[in-house]
Amino acid sequence: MARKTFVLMTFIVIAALLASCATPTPQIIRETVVVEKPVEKVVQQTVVVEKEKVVKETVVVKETTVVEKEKVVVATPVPKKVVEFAGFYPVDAPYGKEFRLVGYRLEQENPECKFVYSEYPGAEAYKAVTLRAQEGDPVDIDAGGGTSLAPGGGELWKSGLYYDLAKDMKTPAYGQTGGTWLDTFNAAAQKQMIIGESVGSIPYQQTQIILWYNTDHYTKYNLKPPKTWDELMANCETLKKNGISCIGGGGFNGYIGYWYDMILFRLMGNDAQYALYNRTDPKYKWTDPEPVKAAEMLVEMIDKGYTVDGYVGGDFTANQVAYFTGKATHIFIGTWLMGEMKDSIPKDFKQAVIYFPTVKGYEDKTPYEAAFGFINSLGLYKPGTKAKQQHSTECAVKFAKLFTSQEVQTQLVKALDFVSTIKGVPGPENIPGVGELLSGMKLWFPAFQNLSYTAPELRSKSWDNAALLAAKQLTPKQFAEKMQKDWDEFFSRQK
Amino acid sequence: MATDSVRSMELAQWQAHQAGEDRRRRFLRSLPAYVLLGTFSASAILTFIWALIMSLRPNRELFTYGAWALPKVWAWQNYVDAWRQMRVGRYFLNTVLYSGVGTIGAVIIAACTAYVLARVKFRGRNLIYYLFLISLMIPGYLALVPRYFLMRNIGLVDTYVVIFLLAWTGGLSFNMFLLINFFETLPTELEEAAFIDGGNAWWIFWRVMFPLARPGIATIAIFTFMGQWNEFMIPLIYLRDPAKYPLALGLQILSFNATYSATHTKLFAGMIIFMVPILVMYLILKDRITEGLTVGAIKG
Amino acid sequence: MLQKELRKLIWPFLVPSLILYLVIGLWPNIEAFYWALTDYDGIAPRQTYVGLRNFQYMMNDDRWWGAVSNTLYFAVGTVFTLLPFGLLFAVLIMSVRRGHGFFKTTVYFPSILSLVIVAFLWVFILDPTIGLLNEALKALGLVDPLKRLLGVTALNWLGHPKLAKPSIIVVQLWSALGFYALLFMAGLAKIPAEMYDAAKIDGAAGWSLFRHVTWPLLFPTTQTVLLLLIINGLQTFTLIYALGGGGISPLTQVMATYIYRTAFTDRRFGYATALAALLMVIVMAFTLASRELTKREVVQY
Repeated sequence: MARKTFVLMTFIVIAALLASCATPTPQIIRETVVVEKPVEKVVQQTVVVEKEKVVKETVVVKETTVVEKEKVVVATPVPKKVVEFAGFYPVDAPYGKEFRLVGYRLEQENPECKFVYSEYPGAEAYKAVTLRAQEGDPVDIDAGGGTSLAPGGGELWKSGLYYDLAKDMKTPAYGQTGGTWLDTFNAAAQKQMIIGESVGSIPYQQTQIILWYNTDHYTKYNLKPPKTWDELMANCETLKKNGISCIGGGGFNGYIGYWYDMILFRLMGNDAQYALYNRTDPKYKWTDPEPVKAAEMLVEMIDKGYTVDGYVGGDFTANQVAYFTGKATHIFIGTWLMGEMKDSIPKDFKQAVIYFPTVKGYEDKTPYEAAFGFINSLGLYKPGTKAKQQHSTECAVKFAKLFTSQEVQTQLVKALDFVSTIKGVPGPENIPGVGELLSGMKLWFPAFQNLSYTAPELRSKSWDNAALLAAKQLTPKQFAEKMQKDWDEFFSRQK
Repeated sequence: MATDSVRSMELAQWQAHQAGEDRRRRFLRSLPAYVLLGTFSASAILTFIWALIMSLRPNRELFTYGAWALPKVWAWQNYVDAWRQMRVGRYFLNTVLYSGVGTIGAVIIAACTAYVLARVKFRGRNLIYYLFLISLMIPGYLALVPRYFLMRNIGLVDTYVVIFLLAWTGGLSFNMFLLINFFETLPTELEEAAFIDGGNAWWIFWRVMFPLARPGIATIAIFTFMGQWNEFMIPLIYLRDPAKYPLALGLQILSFNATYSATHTKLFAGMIIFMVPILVMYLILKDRITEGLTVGAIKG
Repeated sequence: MLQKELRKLIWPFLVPSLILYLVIGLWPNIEAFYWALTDYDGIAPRQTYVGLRNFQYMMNDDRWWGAVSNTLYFAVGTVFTLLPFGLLFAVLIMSVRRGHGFFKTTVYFPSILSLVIVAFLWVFILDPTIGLLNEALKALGLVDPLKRLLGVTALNWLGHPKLAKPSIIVVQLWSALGFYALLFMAGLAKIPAEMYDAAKIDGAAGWSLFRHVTWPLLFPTTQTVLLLLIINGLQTFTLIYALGGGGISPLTQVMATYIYRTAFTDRRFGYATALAALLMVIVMAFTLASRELTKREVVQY
């Protein structure tokens, strides 16, 4: 017994030692070592490889400045002001890497600022960011999509936790001497930033949800890209006969949720749908014919067996796998897909993109060239009352300006293939067809059910209902009634 | 005579035959048992092996060949990436810290309290005893919100301290009652002898009673350690900074990583890292652990 | 004299832990009864007293009642699977001559794993599109017969209304079987061998031996196991949360996860506490009921 305990203890000690030796601290630590003769001895201890690029640039910069002044570079540890950036993407995902690079550049240009990337990946982990704000220790920049500023979910904005950017927006943008920062954003973005007199968020990326399809399947089975719902369903029938699922996503998950939103959009038009989700006009009810019909169409599609049998909670991967392995032909998903999945897509995979089909009899409601999407924004929190580090809104604003500069955005778009909200930034090059498709777009509108534009509570409730609809626990009519009831209940509590 | 010897030979043969028959019959009768037990054991072992194999496959292969295939290329890199980039190393260290400090503290507090309540006579002892008893009957969820706000108001949210405090007080009543039962089985003479030898109270407890209570203490230590190692809900509610997450919660984050950047096979590497220490510990201390857990459960 | 000396220990040993316990352990439980009568979003300076309004909401909250009924389903489901299987495996492990230790170790193995790990492994096993189970069934040509047998259109284990709850019970069974088998083995080991010998002389064997000797003598263990299963079953959280992968479907929502969501996602902290108060009542009621129901049959030996 004693020997065993000894063995165990030794094991634990060794494990702990191993852990402490081999573990890099999660935030990337960089120490600038004291420098006497500046140029040669600027040593940067780096953990992350891709940072070298930036470091080299810095060395060059320092060389010139230092040589001119013939002075020793200040190396006394000045307490730095922290800009904490809450990233929705993991630190080593393509997005996380690129965002961090912008942070290092901020540090190089503003030695008083220290950039910290805290990762809060996924909606569930992201909860911690809002909790931190409530607890009085908010991050400085919240990159979770500016969720909380949306009309229905604006409670956090009203609570005064956010920093009002109105003044800063009137100052020039990064690297410019005239004009205003606000003017550098495109019209769709500007529309979403402004709340009354205030500016609540800094949009940097727009993503459209569009229909992707496997072109090999289309050639093999001699199909035509569908423009109407009936054409799509006919294609699905052919594919089903050949043993292929038509649609990636099934049962209920977020991707099927997009289908409901988009069908309803085709049936109602943008303004009516917006009014329904956010109750800006009580005339629109969930029990109206259109929301019920949209539910019926969705259920019919699932019933006919056109979807993949894939539902595991909020796990989207199964659907992506089904699509990329050729088990499903279509997937209705955002333009972020390629950036996110870059390292995992099989090399010989071929695909193309189209708009979501229109529905017969409702063509006048929406232009064919329309898609919904998200505007991803940075939100700035005011420094908290119980903050554990010295945060700086000034540095945060500097970061936001750098981040939304044309130069940085162009660089980000190149790396991540997204669509920028900044005027003059070129579109993504690496996704065939996306650029052309989006350049002809006539209507852009924000996503409703799956993220943003309704209060978080309503969002999770509508997910519940949709899950029950897809699982046939609710008929389309009952689904509509349930939605109406939930909306009534929520808004009755808001007064 | 001859016939006798023949008969005895026959008898011996017959008996040997019977014995063989018996063995066969016994084997046949226990065959269903072996099949059932074997199936379950196989499911446990194969799941582990499968996870091990998954952890060694490159991610692209998962997307090309599905979950049911051997690696074409052995991706040992997954472990390096999981440990360094995905911070499994950090989570691991945190878990060791939480389980270690949590367990030691919980054991000492429970032992001290239990000893006083078991052996020291003073006014109000019964009252205190029953006060401790109350929390054994209340499900933990009742205090979920008030306790969170208590911690928030004294500024302990997102600190190591809150995890330790909750580890120490979480199982306090339970551990204490277990040890009170244990102390009560020890004879009083031991203390008296120690006292006569000139020992003070401090010495009596640490040098005499605490070592004697070792089996009981080992039980609660194992029980608490396993609980802390796997603890999920408390860190979920009280920790914000991902650098402070323990493995159980960190893995949850990693599974989101997997969803957003499709790094499933690295997630499996992380899971293996989480599983192996507890597995090794289990194989070394098998009997202690099983005994500790069952005693713990039954007494509760 | 000894007592006088030992009393010195009250201050250093008892008082600190008592204070910790009262402040962190007990007081929030008492405070909870006030919280249940308030409304609080976590941001406003104070909570507002709303009387019994939270309980009115609760009455009309069909999600909550759905969660309650799911929880009861799981609790009852685990009792009816884990209790008999735990006992069966205990008896089998005790009875096999070879590999006793091996089986004991491997059967218990899933129980030492964290529930988070168990959940992730099973998400991958049960995934309808890329899961191990469906791939295996497909290779064996069993998909269609099984679909027909179960009356479903897809083997969507964790998502289909017919399959989701039973699937979770199977996961639960896999993960906890070893633990409960071990409890039963501890109980079996305590039964004196003479009892069996005496019964064998009376001609008992096999089933009747189990029925008339093992079962009654094992009853205290069974009682404990039953109680544990009910208490754990009603408070299950981690497995459901981790299996949901961030979005728990109403088909598998349980009381604990719903309370967590109400508090920390919807920011209705007062309401969540009211729900927790009901959870407490339910747990207590079931505990008492199981004690009452199994009280009479305890056999002394």
